[in-house]
Amino acid sequence: MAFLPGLEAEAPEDGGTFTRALPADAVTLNPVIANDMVSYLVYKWIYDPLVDVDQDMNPVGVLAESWENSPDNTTTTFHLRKGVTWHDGKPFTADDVLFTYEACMDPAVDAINKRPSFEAVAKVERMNDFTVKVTWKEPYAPGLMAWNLHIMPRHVYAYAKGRSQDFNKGSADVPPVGTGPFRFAEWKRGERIVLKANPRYFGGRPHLDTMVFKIIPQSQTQLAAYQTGQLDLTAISTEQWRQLKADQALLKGATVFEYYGRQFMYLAWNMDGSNPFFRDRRVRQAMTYATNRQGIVDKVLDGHGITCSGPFYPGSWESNPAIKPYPYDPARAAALLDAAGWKDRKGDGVREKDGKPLAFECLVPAEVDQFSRFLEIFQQDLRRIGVAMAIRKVEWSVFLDRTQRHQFQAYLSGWSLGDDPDPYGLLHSSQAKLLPDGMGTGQNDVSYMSPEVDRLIETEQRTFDRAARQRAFWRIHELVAQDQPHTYLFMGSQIVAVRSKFQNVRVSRAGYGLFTWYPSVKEWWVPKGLR
Amino acid sequence: METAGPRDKDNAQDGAPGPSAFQTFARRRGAARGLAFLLLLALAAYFAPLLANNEPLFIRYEGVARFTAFRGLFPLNRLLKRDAVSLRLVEDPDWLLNQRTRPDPKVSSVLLPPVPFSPLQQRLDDVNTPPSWRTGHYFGCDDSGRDVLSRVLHGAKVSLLVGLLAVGLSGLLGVAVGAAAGYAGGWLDLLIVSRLIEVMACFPTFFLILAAVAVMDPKYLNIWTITVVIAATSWTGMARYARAEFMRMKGADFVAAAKALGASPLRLALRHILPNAMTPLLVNATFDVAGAVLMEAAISFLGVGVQPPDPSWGNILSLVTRYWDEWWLGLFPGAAIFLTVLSYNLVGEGVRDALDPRAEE
Repeated sequence: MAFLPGLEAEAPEDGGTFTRALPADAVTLNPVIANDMVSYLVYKWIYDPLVDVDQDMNPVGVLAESWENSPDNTTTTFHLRKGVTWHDGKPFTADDVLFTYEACMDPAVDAINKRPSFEAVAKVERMNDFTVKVTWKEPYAPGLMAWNLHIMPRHVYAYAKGRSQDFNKGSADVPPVGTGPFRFAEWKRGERIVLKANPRYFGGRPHLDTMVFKIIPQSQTQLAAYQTGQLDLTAISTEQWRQLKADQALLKGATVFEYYGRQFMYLAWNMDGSNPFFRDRRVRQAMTYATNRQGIVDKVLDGHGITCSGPFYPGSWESNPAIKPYPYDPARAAALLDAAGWKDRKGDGVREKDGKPLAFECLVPAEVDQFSRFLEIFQQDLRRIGVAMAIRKVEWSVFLDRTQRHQFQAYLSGWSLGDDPDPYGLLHSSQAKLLPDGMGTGQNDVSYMSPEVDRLIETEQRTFDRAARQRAFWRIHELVAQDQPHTYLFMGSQIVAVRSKFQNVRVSRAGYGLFTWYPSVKEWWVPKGLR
Repeated sequence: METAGPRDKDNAQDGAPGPSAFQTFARRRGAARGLAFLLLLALAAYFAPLLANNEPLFIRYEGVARFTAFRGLFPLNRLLKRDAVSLRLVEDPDWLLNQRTRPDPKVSSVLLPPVPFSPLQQRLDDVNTPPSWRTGHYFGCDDSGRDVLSRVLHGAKVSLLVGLLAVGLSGLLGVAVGAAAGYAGGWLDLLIVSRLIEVMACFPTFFLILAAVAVMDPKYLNIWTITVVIAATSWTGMARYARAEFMRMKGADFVAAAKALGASPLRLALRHILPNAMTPLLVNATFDVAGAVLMEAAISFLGVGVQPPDPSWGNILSLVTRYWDEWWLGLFPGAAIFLTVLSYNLVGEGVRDALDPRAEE
């Protein structure tokens, strides 16, 4: 991670190409209808959002120069940057912001994954060419990050009412036109996407001339392509890392970044009363004490991971530093189960209570090899304290269906943290309701019901003062650590190698990696002699 | 009074007594070695709980002598509950391994199996360790810290059982269908059974199995269902052989003679034709076992067969796709599959040479 201090002091030079791999082809470069990560990695550089997050997850204005809330926090006024031009030379104005928002809200446009983030928005108004006013239904602190919405030009994408199909497929024939630091240059389907520097970018042109995205689905192929010089960056799995460490020559001339991505794994314990186990907090705590999470991080992930204590990014402002992950302590787990009345009376190695054995089934999506592997280790951990956990691998669609209907006893899965730390979807009791057709309304599929957590979430959502919000999050963290609605497992490291010739490469301290924050690649540069 | 068929040795037409079938078989060195390997493997598979286990062969625990590991042998494992030693080991799988460093005063003497690890026991300290005499992991460990030698030994049971049972089952099915078709002949044969066999034979067996396994609930993916699936998709070879033999023999003199004596069709088929049709069926069956072993390994390799943590050679082997420099994950299960399939093929050739008069040199 170290830079040579001498190089960093030099003035950045323009020029050079950066080539990276994508695990699949982008689906579309239309940011309103795109809902996959791969498309985002590309369109992020063609279009700009109103606000983005910076290296430390603080909101940063991009097309919005500044914004302010009314005293009662019911409106937010965005002041747009003046003098910004689209790649085709036309000026950017408030009309484009309204157009993009309206396209998102048009039910005929395929923006299903964008719409929910605007649920709290009552209306969006154009005050003048460079001022947009957003009125909220009620004060809603997480709402700002909904405006991490990449703005599209009205004059290119405008469609007649009822002709949304023109918009849905628009970008397939129209080369994308944005305001971003890079311009679209070429897209060879299934092969590569090429972007060129935008010389008229409002913040000054990016130093790199060209960015190339090559489509390489296999991670092993990606690594090989890096080693033969076809790529400037490669992701490295923990297994590959072990092998690379043995052969240092393979990593010569590379700077290696390691960070915890914003996804954690967790075990969910269903508390809706359909099983006799998990309504008892002591049983859930015992499950957490009994699972050797640190052991997996140390031995299976070779230390490339971090155990979690709650649904917050470790080390970030919302995460309570006083809450430590439960230690691995089978004796304590056994004592908790004893106290809860689960004892092995038959002497068959499995605890019972009221004649019912402490035996349950844990669902796991079959597609993710690693999940079942960790679950097998936990299975053995639990067997040691007299708990019989059966592993049930199911297809992803079945997994989603059963968890959404709350038809499970336990499951193992992963969770991605959003741009705002609000845990409403995961922990608020309203998110545990089932609709008449049996589908759950939210992600609280374990039916966690804590009046205090509910109240804290409702408060936190209306609080704009960060210190006050932090207090609410810290208290939620504390309660969740006591209640253990889930056993929070760990976040795995992402390991990325970048050629050392690239200067000013920085990694987010909040788990966003090298790219999914602002300005990131825009600031990279290559000294002339190394090109 | 029965009429003897031509297979009867006393009726050998050339008069001079040739070498017996067994002698012919034994004279082929490859076949004999193959058979020896398979017998050894069968013994190893059956006695795997005594060879590779974290339970002790003998232990004096709290003053009581116990033979804990023997309780894992079939059928004892179905009859007996776990003893106190076994229960302790569930709580602490490494309890007896640590005797040297941390002796337990309740244990006065203990004898562990030669490979003191159970196939399911995960030791996080041993994740991905290479083979070594020092650690006692002679074949190394997999990515969950499970001993590969222990898994290969216990996996042998899967390969042998699936191989033999699948062929037994497909043999029964194939012979029944083929015999009916060959014996009855006529429209039943031409219009229905032969077409059915042909249609079935047209499907690529491997993909048929994958498709069958894919629609099955993973809960039921165990060696018994896999056996049934393999058998249900691979009986056509047997059926063709049986049909041909029955067609050929139903007009033979000894069959006509038996018929004249009033034998029922069922008796004719089972008592007179079948014993004489056994040769090609037996040879074919032996080769089929090799195919079934390979098939099980292949579908477990692809992750749709025997599910981890249960060991099977195929699922051990599949790990090497993820850890390409950990050669022990590929070499040992791969060698086991190779040797077993080779042995069955050698035995098959031996059986053919010994029993089939047309195949004599």
